[in-house]
Amino acid sequence: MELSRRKFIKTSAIAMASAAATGSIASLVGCSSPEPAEEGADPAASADAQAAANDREGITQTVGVCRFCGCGCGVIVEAKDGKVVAVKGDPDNGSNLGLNCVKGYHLATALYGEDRLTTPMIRDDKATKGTGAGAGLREATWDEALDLVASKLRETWKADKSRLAFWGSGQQPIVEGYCQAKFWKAGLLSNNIDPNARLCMASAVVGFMNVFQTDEPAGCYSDIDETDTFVTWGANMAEAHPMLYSRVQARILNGTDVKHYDVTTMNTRTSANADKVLLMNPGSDLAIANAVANYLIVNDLYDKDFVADHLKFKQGTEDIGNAFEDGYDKSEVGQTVDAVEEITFEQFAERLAPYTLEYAEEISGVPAADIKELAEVFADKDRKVLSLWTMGVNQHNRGTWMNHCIYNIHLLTGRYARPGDGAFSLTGQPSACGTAREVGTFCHRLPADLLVAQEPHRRYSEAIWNLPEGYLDAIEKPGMHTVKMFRELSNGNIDFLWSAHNNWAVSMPNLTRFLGKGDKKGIVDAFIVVSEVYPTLSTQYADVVLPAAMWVEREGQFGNAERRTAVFEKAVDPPGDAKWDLWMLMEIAKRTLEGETIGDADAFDALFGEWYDKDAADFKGDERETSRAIWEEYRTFSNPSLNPAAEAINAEAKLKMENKQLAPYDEYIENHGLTWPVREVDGKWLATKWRFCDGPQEDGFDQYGIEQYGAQDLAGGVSFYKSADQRPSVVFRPWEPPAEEPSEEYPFWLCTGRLLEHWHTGSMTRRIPELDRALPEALMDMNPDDCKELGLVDGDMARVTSRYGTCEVKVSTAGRTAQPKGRVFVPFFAEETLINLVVQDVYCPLSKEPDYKKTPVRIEKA
Amino acid sequence: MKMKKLPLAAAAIALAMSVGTMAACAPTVVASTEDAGGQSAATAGVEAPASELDGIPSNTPADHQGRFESMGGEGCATCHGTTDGKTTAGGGAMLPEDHYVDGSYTTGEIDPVRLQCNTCHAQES
Repeated sequence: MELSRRKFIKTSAIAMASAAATGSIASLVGCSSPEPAEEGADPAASADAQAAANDREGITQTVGVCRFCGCGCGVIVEAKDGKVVAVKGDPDNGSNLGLNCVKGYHLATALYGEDRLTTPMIRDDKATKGTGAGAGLREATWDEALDLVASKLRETWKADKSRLAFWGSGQQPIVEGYCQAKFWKAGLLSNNIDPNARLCMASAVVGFMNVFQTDEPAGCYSDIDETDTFVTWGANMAEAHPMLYSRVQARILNGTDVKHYDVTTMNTRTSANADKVLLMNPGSDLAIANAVANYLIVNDLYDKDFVADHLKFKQGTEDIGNAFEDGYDKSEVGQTVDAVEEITFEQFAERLAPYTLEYAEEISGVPAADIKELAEVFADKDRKVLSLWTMGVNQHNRGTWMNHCIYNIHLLTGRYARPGDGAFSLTGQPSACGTAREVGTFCHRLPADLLVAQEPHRRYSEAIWNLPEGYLDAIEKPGMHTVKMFRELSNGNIDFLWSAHNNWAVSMPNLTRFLGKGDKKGIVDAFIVVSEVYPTLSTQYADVVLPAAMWVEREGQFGNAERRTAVFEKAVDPPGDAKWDLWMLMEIAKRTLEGETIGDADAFDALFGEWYDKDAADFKGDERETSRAIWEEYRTFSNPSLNPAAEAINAEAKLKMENKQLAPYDEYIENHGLTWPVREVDGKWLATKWRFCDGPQEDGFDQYGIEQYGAQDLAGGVSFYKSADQRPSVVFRPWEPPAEEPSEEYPFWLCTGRLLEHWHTGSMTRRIPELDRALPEALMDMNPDDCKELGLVDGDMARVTSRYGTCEVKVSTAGRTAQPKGRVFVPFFAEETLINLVVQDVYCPLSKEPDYKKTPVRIEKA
Repeated sequence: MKMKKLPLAAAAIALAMSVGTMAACAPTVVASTEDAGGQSAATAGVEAPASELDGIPSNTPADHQGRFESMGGEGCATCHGTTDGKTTAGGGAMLPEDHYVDGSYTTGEIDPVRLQCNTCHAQES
């Protein structure tokens, strides 16, 4: 008899229940709220229920969004006596449907580490930088701290604005990021602003823009529930996107013959349940993807109607080298990396022809038969296929190219923007999409996908920001991207750096250089401002530390990986003198812009006067009203009809800004989040789950977008109305080797990444005892044979050295990942390990995103 | 490794008979300074939230290392599952009702989306 999986559980549970001693089991309420006692229930139980009910008196509930990963799980926040006491999954949030992960459940504790920063601090002696937590910092008043920060910013701005920089984050809420970008770009006329999303999503962004001319995925999380085949490319979802991985596994268990192929350089928790693991050599994914595409064409297995109706073909600059040197971007090849030319389908096929299954096997180490099997999955018209990828693809010296290669496969087979059939770039942070990408905190962007380099985009932004025409021409050239920013800091070319919502002193690659451990002293000389909630390694290098309100200590908004914008309501007050980041920004902007004008208007009032009273040093309304006011201005970018001047530019320049249409602020609260574009239909605002896919809007399809700008009855029922000529680009990208490869001196590949329990650099999650006990230290996962050869055993300390730097870490052969011979993995959350001292800062030449996954290292017993 | 059915079912049941109480899903007591053994300096002295209403899934005890990896959620359910909301077979803490198909113990079937136990129940090291 073959038992189904679920039947097995049922059978065994009944058997075990029968065998158990009765009345000896403790009650359990751990994962659900206390329920009222039923009539006739045990009196003791009734008393317990009453006690539980009493405990709930005084509890307030607010709607929130988890502030950790890019899943963007909705949560219900319960507070009592001014403290958050519970965080549960929000069943009404369409992204997670009530699910949560271990980090999300512990959000409340993350707020209450005893060393929360509650007072501004100033460093008087720069020589004390990096000398220990709190060393050299003294308490200050807000006025003293803000005056100092603004005076240094203004001094730098007036002297040479190329020497100032702001480094933001995909954890910055939307209206805060919007105002930050507005201050930097329209107030200071500087593009030296970039988010830490550069480190995780930039390759995906450039891929989207190159292929579709619009950022972010066409599909949504519901694709997981509808597909027949999952292909994970460089994605350890079980650790980095746990809620979504639970949905993947549920789909596999609920569906019939649902398959999972995991393309990876190591066995992870995500590999554990995969039907097939394609264990590849680092950096060989482009060869595999090209071989899949070639197989589909050679064997006539691609979708000819889809190709004819929708696609154009291109090739670009090749043999582009690697960004080792500071001057790479301005080198001859560096300046041509974005160049592409149109080619025919036949020429595209010719370029792919060398990528036989055997050639791909030679490069990747993956058996040709396995690559063929993967290709045939894409060829099978009876199956839907969903590709999911994240940092293994994006943090790659050819990250943008690999994004292209995944789209190439999906577009050739007509598998894009259709329910269950899609290519989905998973986001790393809770608002990498909503803030970093959508409001334009990148050095080359303006809000809503607009680019500083495009004149119509600047005119459009000027119209909405009520700036004189031509005012933004001063920022037509992009500023410093993140790696450039820190390289120039270490070169002594940055005088003022302000960072918020990140911990660059742990998360940046090549920290040996950026922390000034060599002969560079830029980090000491520069005036560094850090807005933070806890002491971090970054605050050890700060001249001023600004204590910030954390998560639901103020109202905010995140935009997650499936284009869902959601609001987290304020639930409690911040501790001590910690303040809302937006207030800090307003006060610094007010001081910095004092006496400045835009046209005839006071500069600060022109930019922020609608919601901030500079004389009162406070917002004109409460946090809800303030957020709503800022949102209403921001959403004008995607609702041009709200601004006649913008509407005219939108029509004349064919910007199609409605493709990202956002709803009024309160709709997001009432609906527990909405996925854009959001369309107003008969007085209701309806979300879009599948962009570019024709069908009823009320079912989540892009009915009104296609009616306005697209075409119906095309192959696949889709219309890529935002793409140039309404045709996405299939771009041939060759396999080119990693920036550096193992050598006799550095014989191992080092890969870094995240693990389930700790968010990024652990500055919050390591203050949660349960998570800290589960994952108290970083281990270096190694292959047992490598350990044996090096005389290492589990628990030994090893020294890891690259040509960039060195650190020590404990060895494990039984860690979260199983490493092939010659490869090691180290998570980056642990400040005491600081693996980023070792990691290279070489970046994808197109996206400028660093490659954290392939640093050659030497390993010795410490 | 994908979960195989009957052979592992037998193993899981055998294991279920041999284990004691498991803390997973039990009411959470947010760790105080005293009981947060093994924590790093960063967590020492963390103040607990004001009540224990937080419903946080408990960590999986250290002596359960490897069980989920070898048996999957089905293995966990053999000890922690119930069909009547009153008893579990292995003496383990009982899975809450919202972990079951249709939100009911009576189905005796764990909702597949809840079978990645280690997503919410961190494994103590």
